[in-house]
Amino acid sequence: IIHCLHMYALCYQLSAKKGRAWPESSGTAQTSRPRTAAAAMGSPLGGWPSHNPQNFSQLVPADPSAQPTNVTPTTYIAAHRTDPPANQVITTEPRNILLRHFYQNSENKPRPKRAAPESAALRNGKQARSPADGGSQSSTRS
Amino acid sequence: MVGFFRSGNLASRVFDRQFLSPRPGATVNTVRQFYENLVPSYTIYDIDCPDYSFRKFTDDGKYLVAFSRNHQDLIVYRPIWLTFSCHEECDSHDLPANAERFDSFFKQLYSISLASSNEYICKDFFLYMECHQYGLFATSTAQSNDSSATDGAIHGVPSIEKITFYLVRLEDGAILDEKAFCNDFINLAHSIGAYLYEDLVCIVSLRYQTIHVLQIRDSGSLVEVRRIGAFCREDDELFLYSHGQAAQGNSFLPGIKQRLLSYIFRKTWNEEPDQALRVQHLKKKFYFHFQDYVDLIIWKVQFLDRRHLFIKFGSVDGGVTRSTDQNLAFFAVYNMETTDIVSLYQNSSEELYSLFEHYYDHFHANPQNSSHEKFISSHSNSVHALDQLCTIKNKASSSSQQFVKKMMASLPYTCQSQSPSPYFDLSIFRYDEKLISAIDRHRHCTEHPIKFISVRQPNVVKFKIKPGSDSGGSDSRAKRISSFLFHPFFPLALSIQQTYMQPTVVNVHFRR
Repeated sequence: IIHCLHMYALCYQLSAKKGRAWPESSGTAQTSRPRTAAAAMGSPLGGWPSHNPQNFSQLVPADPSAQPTNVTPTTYIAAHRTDPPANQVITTEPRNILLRHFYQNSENKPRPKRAAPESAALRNGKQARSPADGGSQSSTRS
Repeated sequence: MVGFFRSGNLASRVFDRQFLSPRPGATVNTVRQFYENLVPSYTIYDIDCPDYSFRKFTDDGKYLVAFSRNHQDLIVYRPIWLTFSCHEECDSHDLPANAERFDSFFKQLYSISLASSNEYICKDFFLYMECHQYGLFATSTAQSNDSSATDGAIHGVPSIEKITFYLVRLEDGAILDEKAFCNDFINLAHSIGAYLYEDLVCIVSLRYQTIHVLQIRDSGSLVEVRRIGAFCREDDELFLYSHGQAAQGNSFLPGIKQRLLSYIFRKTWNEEPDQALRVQHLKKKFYFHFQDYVDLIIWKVQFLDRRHLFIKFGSVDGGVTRSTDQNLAFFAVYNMETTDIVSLYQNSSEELYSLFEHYYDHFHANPQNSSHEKFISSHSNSVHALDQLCTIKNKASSSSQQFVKKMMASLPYTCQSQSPSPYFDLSIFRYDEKLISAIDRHRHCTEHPIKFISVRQPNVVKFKIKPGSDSGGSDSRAKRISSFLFHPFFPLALSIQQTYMQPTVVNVHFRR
């Protein structure tokens, strides 16, 4: 707590200096805004000068009653073991990606019957053919 | 585009290179930006050279292949950098007259005779195997239009008495092996009928509808390892003979056709989940078009990897000439080991088009080839090319199916048809693709020089290539065709302009 208070004092001094040395383009009347906005939000970065005062406004504590100085983003700790399996070997797939797509496309579920108008549209000239597969439908990104 | 280097100046780029390291995996692309500074801007017009038809620089840049005018001799040159000596004082600004000779750039290694009396070398056919420096050439006798169906041959395809493929070691001109096809037809123009992948060559015999897979051994012999067409597995023929079936004549459809039909049958069968409607569905989709499927013939084949072939099927009338996009065509992926057809697409298939758009480079991936081939600009690896493709796609006024068919006409890929020169790299230069491009085809000449504009600085013309003589076309009515040969990595290019009934003009473009 003492550490945080110390940090706050530092920030106060810095922003005070900022008001004199770096006039913001939006006018001096707003120099005090960054400090108070950030400090009010309880950002761990306190009232340090920033380009956009709203930058750290998203870091709002979920519990409004919590002390602002205690707010830190929670870190994720896995509940299970994250080691890789002992005999795992990572190799490059020998089949190139184009062939993999060809094999994948052929293993996809068969598509539903196609509507008659589409095969009629293909009829031009001498031969009437309907497509051999459902491949003329819109592309599936696999 | 933000370049890696901080300025365009060559010296400052060299200094930058000392301490800046390129982005991971992008070393070659970064170093290629030096080609902006080293351009073939100087031209020697109408250089005095022997009257040969120059075919190509090999992809490793070691040889220039040329054929004699009578189509019977092969001449191989080695490209050397401009070297000359002169006795008198040389002016530092102009090249002395005796330096502007073909010999200053190219040293003739040998000239061998490939074709005998009634045979002619096919000028358009040349495949290069880089690891052993072997070249594959083809000679043929005159084409006869006798398209009668002899045993095994199909109607509608002309016949050539003899086509011979020669494997030549380019280092010294030794003919290592040859393979002849008699009374057959193979599409030799622009090497369309053959595809080289690592050490395997597949040759498509259109007349007998067979795919011959040959292996180029290290010793230089051509060995046939597979023959796909009438039979798919090596022992199919033996099996049929042992059961006395083959003697009954052509009662069986060819093996590859059977694979195709059974694939379509199974796919159509699986499309309809309802048992009761299946037969009806089959009748409509499969049996109604059965004869059309049987009449399909193999047009063009390429390797996707050592086991998989990408085969284009179409109707007979479109097979011999360059296919138009009006005809219906099918693309099949065929696994040579399991003899299965993995998948089949129509040439208007959106699914195949999306694979074409994203993975076009894998259609011509060839692990053994030089690294230059990996960096050929295409719409799958260059944002600029993809932009151009999307512009064409959005502008396609006719239906998107016509656009897809037009794009599919470039598949299967034609082996070694694109020049790996970095001057065609679309992330470095912009140029008019109708006048010049990486694909080596003859183009119509224009009056004006072809400009190569830097992508980084859109107003700066880095260099110009002007085919034809310095004085410009004297007779603009005569039809003029130009072709361009770029060295794979030197700033050296040849532009060859041919005018009907007039001598050929060869220009050399290089960096002084």
